[in-house]
Amino acid sequence: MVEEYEPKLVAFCCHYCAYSAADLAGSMRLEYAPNVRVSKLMCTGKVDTLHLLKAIEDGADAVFVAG
Amino acid sequence: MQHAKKLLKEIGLEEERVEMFNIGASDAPLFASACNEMAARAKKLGPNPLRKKIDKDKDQNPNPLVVSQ
Amino acid sequence: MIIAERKPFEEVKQEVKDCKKLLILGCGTCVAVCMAGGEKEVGLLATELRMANKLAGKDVEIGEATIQRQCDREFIQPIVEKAKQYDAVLSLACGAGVQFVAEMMEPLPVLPGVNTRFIGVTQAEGMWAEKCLACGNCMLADYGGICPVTICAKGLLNGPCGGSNLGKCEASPEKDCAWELIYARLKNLGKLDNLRNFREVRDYRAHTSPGRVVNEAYQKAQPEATHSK
Repeated sequence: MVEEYEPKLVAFCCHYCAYSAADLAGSMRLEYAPNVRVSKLMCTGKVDTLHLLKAIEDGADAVFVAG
Repeated sequence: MQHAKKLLKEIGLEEERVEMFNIGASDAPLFASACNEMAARAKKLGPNPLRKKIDKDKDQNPNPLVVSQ
Repeated sequence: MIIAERKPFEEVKQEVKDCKKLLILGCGTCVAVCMAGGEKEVGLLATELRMANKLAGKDVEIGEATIQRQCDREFIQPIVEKAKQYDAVLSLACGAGVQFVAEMMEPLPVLPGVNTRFIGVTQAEGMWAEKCLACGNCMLADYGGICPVTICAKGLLNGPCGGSNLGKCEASPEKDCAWELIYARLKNLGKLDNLRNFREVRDYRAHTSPGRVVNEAYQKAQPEATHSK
């Protein structure tokens, strides 16, 4: 179990900041952790405690908000 | 964010599992480092204890986040 | 509106520890506005409980529902059937809602998920302040719309007491002195003369408990059976 543990991450990204940054990271061929699932929001102001907890409840190992 | 951390602690999970980053649109390296930072944290903390249980009863409760690799 | 606060998670967990099937029932009126027991808070509490139960290895089914009001039969009635599938209902309404739901869902146990605090207003974002004690004998007309019964820590009708310091109460420096506020308000209204009147002792009979109000138009029509205890 432990040896094949690949963490699952969820990123809540603002359309105008972090999502663009993520996009740019792709264009720049930057390498970063491959197990990030990006969830795009129009604004990170929409993020509620409930979203973060639900992600964890549904099995995410770590959740972050980027904006 | 503080609230979410507090709630996680109440439930009995590590508060380091949630974080907030401030990233500008042109700051791709920062985004990459944020991802790496969280991945490292998740590795250090180990799997989310809830996931094991979800995996176990995945048949009844198919979960989009838990796709076997 | 009625202001309530979510009970600490540990206390809620303790209340529902024996339930195998639990319905969390929110109320969409006052407690939704004061962020204690609306639809969102139901979701949050349900998620918290589900995670805590899973971590503890307990298999508990948690349902979520929110109705417009828990203080009216019409709104509770449609949910009664659904609630029967559960072991217990955790109501996030004010104390009135919890009791009414409990009455209508008997013999299902109905547990409170919030602490009901007071009748108040939204002072600032996420901050509420008590404004009315429901004393049953409103005297706001004499005091420029500031209630000395509620706001004054001593409930003085003929104040101030002499303990106020820089506009704050001697009971707690965080509280405003109601009488300073009343003075300033009456001055603005040009009604400082109101303060010359001596107000007699409050009529506590108006504040008997439990209170009951029957609208004049309904006084005869009300059949005995619908009276609550």
